[in-house]
Amino acid sequence: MSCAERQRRANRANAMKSTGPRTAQGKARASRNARRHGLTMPPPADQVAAFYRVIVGAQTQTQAGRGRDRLDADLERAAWKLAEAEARVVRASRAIEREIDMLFALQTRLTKGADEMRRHADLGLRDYAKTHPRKAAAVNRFLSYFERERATHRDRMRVGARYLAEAEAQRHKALVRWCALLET
Amino acid sequence: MAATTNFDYDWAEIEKLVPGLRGQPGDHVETIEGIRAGLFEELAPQSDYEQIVAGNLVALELEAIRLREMLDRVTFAALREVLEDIPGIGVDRSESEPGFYDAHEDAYDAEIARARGLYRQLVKAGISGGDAVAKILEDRGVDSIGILARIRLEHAASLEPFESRLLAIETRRRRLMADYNLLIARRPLVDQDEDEDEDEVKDENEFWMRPDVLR
Repeated sequence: MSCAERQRRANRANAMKSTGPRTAQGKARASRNARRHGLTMPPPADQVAAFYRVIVGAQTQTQAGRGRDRLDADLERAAWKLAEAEARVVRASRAIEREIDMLFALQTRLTKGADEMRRHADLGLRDYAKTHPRKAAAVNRFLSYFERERATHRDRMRVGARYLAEAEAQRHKALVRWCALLET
Repeated sequence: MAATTNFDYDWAEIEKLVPGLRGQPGDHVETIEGIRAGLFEELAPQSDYEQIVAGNLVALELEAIRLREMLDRVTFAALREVLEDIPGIGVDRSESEPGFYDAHEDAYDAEIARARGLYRQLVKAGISGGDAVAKILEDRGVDSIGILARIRLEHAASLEPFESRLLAIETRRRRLMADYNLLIARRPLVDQDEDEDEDEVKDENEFWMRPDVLR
């Protein structure tokens, strides 16, 4: 048996032993492996219900909704759609807000870091690296960390902005439909 | 949600569904509350759902204010960096002795303290007013628009996220306002009509209760 064949068999045998997570906790963790931002998930049910109650309450306060004892199926569906879109808008807005705050905090840290660098390095970074190699390396590490983090948060913000635009478009559509049904 | 009369809104309930209305660390509470109350008075939402949509409109305004402030701070930091590179304009580093920044809560506070230091130096030297600063810049062949252009070029990556969100807010506000107008078009007629309707019903009842009709 060749060495490569033996290796393949060993790999296969080891793979058979691996059966994935076994505990409920492990399974719950693994179920979130592919999760990136959670913005495509259905919004929290309690929040949708809270919006739904407000929308249905408003329905009885409109001229057309006054005479109705109960909601017909179409109107009820439209109100749920509107409530769901509202909850999606809230979730996407919060995601963007979080990323903006992170970007601002990073920027503030960079200002502080840049001041620190300037305070010690009037000679410029190249000369500074000769006289203070450890500090210069730390500055470089900080700058590359900053760039990486900034790119990450900017990308997340763009994703959030895309989902927010989608959610707002859904809300507009649902509102137009709900208003139209109120008049029929 | 509580009934709304005389612009007496249940803010706690509205904030639950519109988190952007809540004050945030660093906000000037009185200013935020003033803007919130003023805009609500102008929009005058009546139904509970109108309050939510109006709340979203106000939240957009507050978000714009916060973003502008962040943008100002980032621009301010960039401005100092650009100015330091201009010969003869550079900030006096004697203000930045070790421990200077540690004595302040954050970099922005430190900047304000440093700006005050610079101002004292200008006063000592007999230079005052924006024109004098502009003259100094002009003497060195630099105009203020040139500096701003340099900030925009060199710090585009830092400014872009805040600017793009600010731009997006304009469009979002316009669209949401159109939705709000759509919603208020479905408002019930004024209460006076309601009273008249009730009177009519009462009259009708009286008609059917008249002894000659009953006969």
